[in-house]
Amino acid sequence: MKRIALLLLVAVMIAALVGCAQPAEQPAQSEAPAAPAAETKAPEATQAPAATEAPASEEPESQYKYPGAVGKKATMILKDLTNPVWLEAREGGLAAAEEFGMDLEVVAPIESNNNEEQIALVQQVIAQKKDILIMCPADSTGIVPAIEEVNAANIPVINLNTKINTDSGTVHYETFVVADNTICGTLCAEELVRLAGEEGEAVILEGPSGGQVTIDLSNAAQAVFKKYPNIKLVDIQNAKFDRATAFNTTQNLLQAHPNLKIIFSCNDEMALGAVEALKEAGKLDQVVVGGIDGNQDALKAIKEGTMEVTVYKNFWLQAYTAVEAAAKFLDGQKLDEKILVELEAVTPANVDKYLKN
Amino acid sequence: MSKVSGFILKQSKIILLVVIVVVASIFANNPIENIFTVIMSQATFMLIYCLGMTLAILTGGLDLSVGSVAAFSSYIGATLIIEGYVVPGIIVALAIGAGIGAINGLLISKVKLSPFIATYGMDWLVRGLVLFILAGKKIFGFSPAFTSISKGAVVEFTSTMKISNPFVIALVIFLVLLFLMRKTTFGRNVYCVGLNASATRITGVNTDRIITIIYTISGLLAAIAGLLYAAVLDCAEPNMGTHYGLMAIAATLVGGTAITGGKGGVGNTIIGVLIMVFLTNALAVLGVSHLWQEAVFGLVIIFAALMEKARQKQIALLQM
Amino acid sequence: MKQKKLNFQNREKLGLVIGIVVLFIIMSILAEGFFSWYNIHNLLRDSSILLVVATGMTLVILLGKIDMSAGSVMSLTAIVTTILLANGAHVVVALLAGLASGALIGLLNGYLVGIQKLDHFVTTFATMSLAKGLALVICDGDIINTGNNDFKAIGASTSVFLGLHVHIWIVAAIFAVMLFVLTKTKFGYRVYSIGGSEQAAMLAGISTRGTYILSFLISGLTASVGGILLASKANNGNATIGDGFEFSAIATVIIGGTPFDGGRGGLVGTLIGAILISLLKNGLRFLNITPSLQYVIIGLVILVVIITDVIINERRKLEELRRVEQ
Repeated sequence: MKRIALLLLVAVMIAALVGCAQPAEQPAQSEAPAAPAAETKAPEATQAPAATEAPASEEPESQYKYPGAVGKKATMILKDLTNPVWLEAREGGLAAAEEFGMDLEVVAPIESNNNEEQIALVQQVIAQKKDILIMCPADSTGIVPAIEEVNAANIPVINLNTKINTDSGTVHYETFVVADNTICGTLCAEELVRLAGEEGEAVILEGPSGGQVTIDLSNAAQAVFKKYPNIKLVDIQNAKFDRATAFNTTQNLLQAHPNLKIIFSCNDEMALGAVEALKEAGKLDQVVVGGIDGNQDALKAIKEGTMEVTVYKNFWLQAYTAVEAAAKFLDGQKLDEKILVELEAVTPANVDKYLKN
Repeated sequence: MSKVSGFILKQSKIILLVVIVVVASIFANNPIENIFTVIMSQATFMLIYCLGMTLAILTGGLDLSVGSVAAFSSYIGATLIIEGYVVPGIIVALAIGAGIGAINGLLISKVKLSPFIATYGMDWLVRGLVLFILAGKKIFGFSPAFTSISKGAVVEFTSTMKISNPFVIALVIFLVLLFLMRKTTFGRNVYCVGLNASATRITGVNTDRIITIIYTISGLLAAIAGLLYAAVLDCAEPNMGTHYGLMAIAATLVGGTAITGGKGGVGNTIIGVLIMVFLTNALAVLGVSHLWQEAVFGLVIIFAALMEKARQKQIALLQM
Repeated sequence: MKQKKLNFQNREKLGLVIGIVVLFIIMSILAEGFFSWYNIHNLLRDSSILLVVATGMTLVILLGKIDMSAGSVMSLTAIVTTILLANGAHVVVALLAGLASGALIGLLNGYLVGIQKLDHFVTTFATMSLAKGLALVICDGDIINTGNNDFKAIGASTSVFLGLHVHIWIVAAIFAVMLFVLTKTKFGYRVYSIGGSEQAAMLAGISTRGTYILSFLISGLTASVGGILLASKANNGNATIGDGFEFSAIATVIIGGTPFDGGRGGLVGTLIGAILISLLKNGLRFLNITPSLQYVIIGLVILVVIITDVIINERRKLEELRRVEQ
């Protein structure tokens, strides 16, 4: 009997938490309109498609821009909601949804980047009979069977940030809003090579093995390094996207390759860890460090000169653009196959544009 | 002949460690600098939370929540430290770590949950709290007053070869625990609890209190480790420590502490931590693909366990 | 004691079942789209993978041991199977190779624990690293595309037989076989005996070595099956799919009523535990509770369920003591 009572208690707790969870969503939405005003500073500099700029500075009027989208239900599935960049994306998506009168749910797996959970979330979209899905897959091919189901259920799909692999020809999406990882990796690596005078030893710090983002970024960097005969890629190490691990790994790498000149890191966190290790070893001047993401820590480091380059992926704008594309589609408009959210490499020269103070 | 093999087995772990360090040194650019760096910057941090795990394992239990406790306590502390309240922030962090540890201890001793489940559930809970309440924001840009705790040194030979502050902190903690475990009644009782909890209780020892204290210490150590990491990386983030639990278990076991409790100790764990840390170092220095790291770890643990088993057989044989 | 149908063990399970029903009803009311055959079917499908791995784990826990390598075996099997498929192997060959890899790890575990008498935690912890490491080396850190439609068919949502997905059938079959083995064969009897008291079992002449080896072998195999089913859902090979799965499997078994020191409980409890956990995860998702809050709730539920279990057990022990005294 006690067990029944306790389980009932748990069920009541869940119900109560649900009651609490929903109001918590509202403040996020009402904050959102303020965000576009602050964000226009950055998007302007990245020369994003002009169309997205106008709505960002307009006040939402009673007349919605895409009448066909009003009241429609959408779900945005992200890879993860613990990393600040994805929280930014969520804000961007919710801002767009509020602006266009859509009902948007933003979800992500509990374990970040878990494909199986994302499949379950996709199935949830089908069960809940949503009008449109905005998908950012953790695993480009692993999500394909789930997308096939969505296609079969006649729910349109907007692909965000990481491409759904359409090689098999069995799935389709309406458009791909991308801040492409391959482009990111290339931009960053090219700048590092340039700073190193096109010669020297390089290492790549990767995220957890097998992740799509890491694979794309790492391959892009490797391709760039191959182009230059005097650049030698001496090592690739897995620092788990984690600052502390990258700290230790870099220390070890310095012992193996004392003449290291370039560190390419697949995210800013690891780059910052590497910077700390370089500081300790007194080798900050010898090595150029590049990261990806464009988070505030990294921007600060670039301003201080301890880090050389990062790539600002503007997650807020990516999500906003994706939701807007969804709204356009629901309104009956035709979409391009690809919508590029422009990226920019951030160096000491242009870092002030992005720094929030 | 059996004397030599007996000796080798007895010191098998130390010999293993020496071999690994030698290999790393051969291939490292500056072997002495390498050894210093690994010990001062890598082993010290890890040792602190591993010691907590060792204590829990000695009682026949486990503390799977070290990672999330380190993250949570250091993060909350950081919110104060960033505003300039360095000492209050540190105290708050330590209090939180100890508090969660105490809850674990009570769950295990009073409510009689299995340590695995209690600390596993707590790990989920605390990790969730961290992510939920703190919503993924990082705190960075601490004042030098705080960061120097980890970055500073007591003695500096060169910028890389130094006796770092964390080293001193870890050393003090280790010595205190060593004394506690080997020279006090409390320590003896801990071992007894690990060997046979109910028998120990019957002799009148307050096993509940012992267990609660042990887990409180573990939580406290996790908090210390979290703070030290935050100081050296100049950043407190909610995602830290996800792999601490498994690493700590590995280090403790490799060091020779029995998982069932009652045997081994903090001295063993130092060897275990050094082996793990130098192993990673050696692999990186050798240029072995990081993909091999896990496989090598597994093999090393099996090897260490087999050595330990062989040693025990030797001892049993000698005693006959 | 066949009269005591409502003894404590059954009462625990009944409590769990009622809890599941209550949760189910609440979620159906609160969450849109939850109460539909589509979702319930998906729920059963998802829980089947957890169940199959937990089935093998149940055996090991009944013996009073633990198999920490389950998750890594899943990953290793997935990689071995998919890499063969990607290189053009026939689907049956690839599947057998995958199962073989799981069997190998299982046998290694069984050998080290049963014959070398190493500690079970240390051993399976080490093989966990070893298996995962092998998986990483084989796939070179990349995700593997199988390019094989037969394999895809195993996991495709359309692969339904009599209304239920292929996965459900496969796991149901394995579960039924294991249930029979555990309750009606000598091997099953030995498992319970050793779990109850290893020394007593040895004195009674039971071969503990063989039982350990076989149990770890089965655990490795069921983990393999789980890995194959999981990989078939995504139709690719990813070395991280099994990460942390052993914890879920262990929690499933414990929540289902089999205690850590073994000797009691069994597969029926595991089945209930698997459904409860899957229901919880599925429902929390539908309620759109933020992932971090889901962590908190799942942690709470685990603690609450186990606490009640312990309280009930303590009462049972007291009652037994009282009975003895009389």
